Amino acid sequence: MFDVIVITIAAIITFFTGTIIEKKHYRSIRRREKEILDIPFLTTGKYDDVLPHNPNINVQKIGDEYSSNLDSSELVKGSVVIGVDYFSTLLFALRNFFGGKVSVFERLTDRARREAILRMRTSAQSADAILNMRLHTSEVGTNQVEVIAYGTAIYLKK
Amino acid sequence: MILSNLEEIPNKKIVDHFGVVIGSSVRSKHAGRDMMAGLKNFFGGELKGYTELLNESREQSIDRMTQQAMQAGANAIVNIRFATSAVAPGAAEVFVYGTAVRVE
Repeated sequence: MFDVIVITIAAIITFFTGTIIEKKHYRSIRRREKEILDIPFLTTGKYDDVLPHNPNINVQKIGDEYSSNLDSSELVKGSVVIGVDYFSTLLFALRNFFGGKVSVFERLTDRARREAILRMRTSAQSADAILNMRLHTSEVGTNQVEVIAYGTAIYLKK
Repeated sequence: MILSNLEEIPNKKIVDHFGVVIGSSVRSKHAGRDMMAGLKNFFGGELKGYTELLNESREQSIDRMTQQAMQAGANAIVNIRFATSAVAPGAAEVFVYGTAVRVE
């Protein structure tokens, strides 16, 4: 009986704290997504075909080589590890029993993905574009996900 | 050592090719971080201790891969990919691999 009471109290507390932490994080993500410099980030490496309208990026592909508008390139990455609260793990156990959509984990991976991409973009604010962006999600503990976003930032000659 | 996850280095020509190079590192959390993360696991939110742990692990893996490439005589690594996986409870492996080349 005592166990049930402790679990219920823990579930109630973590339900509230978990919701608050998640809302705060989402607010921070949305704010930073508005503030960050809108540098193009692509999952392809062939940006001259994808961005013909940008007058600052004017690269000719001569055979297999890019023209000399490019100055340098750099590997950029951003990563984050996020976990769910205790209430969500209880909810998940119940869902696992009956089946169905687990929206708290959908939100978890969504938050982690957006946060990782934001961190990658923040580390390349002076770049002209980020190419070949890749995302990788993995589980690093019980109900904890790590998302890493990595790509190549290119700098054009000024 | 130039690192890139493109198939070539912009503005440079690949002249030689040394094969696949890899770097990996396995880290586990230490007790202090683990307790804080245990609490965070309870309340939810970002686990900064683990993020930093895996970041350090990643830097070390990149260093190991760079060492391997330098020994082969390369000066750049292209087509870099990352992978993370949990290999034991409380330990994660970060794995980086790419193709070592010489560019001019």
